[in-house]
Amino acid sequence: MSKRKIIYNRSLPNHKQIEEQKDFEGVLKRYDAASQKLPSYRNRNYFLGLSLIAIIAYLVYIESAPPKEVEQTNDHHITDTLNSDTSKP
Amino acid sequence: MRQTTHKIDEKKLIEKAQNSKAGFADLYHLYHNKIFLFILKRVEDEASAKDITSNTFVKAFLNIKKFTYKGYSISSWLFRIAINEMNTFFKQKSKQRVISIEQTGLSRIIEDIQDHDQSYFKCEENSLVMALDQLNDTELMLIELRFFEKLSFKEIGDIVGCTENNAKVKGYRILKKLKKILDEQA
Repeated sequence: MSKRKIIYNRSLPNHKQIEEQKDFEGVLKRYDAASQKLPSYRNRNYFLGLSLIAIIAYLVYIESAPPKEVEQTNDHHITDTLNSDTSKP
Repeated sequence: MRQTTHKIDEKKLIEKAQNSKAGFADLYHLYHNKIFLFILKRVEDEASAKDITSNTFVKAFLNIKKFTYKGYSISSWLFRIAINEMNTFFKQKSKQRVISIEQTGLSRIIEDIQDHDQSYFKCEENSLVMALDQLNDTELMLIELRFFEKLSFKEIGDIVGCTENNAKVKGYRILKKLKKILDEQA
């Protein structure tokens, strides 16, 4: 298929017919829809920024949380003392 | 004198359009028909032309505050938006670009080629149309603006985004290219 179509001496609409094609209300509606600000969470950059902050916060939390091994040793310590208590009649 | 008054009026019109919807409505009613016809000559149907015209004015309304009056008509700016919108339309909908050929426009092209070439030149209109179809989009647009829309080089420069002299040089080169294509065809 050719990229272009050639039309010779095309009959064009007259002034009245072109006037009928005017639709300023339609233009205004489309303008209002296009110019309406997106809510922040639907803004791509805002969303990415928020995600990055959440990831950093999570990593900081992970780093600052007490290691699990310490808790385990505490558990052993408690069970040990319990055992030692039961050994005493 | 009349041109100066026209410039002042247009400046006021642009300022109004930048500040209110009513002001933009005036601009819309003033230029709608011109832009609609310009687009219709390049697309197949009126519905598409209406749609692209609407898109053109929506884009213009969204960006009118960025427009600074530099002495050239706002219609050139609107034409430029319309050309971009048409290009988007052809890409997205994969529709054919239309070349609306007028007899008078073709005669004017032949006359100009003769003037520039300074030699005897004769060609059939059909061959010229075939040669026009071989130009790239930018070249074809410049020829259309000059010979079918009858715009001055100053206006063409404003639309295409170059100086008046540059538009003249480009026009001359395209005519030379057309002549070469026609010679090869012969």
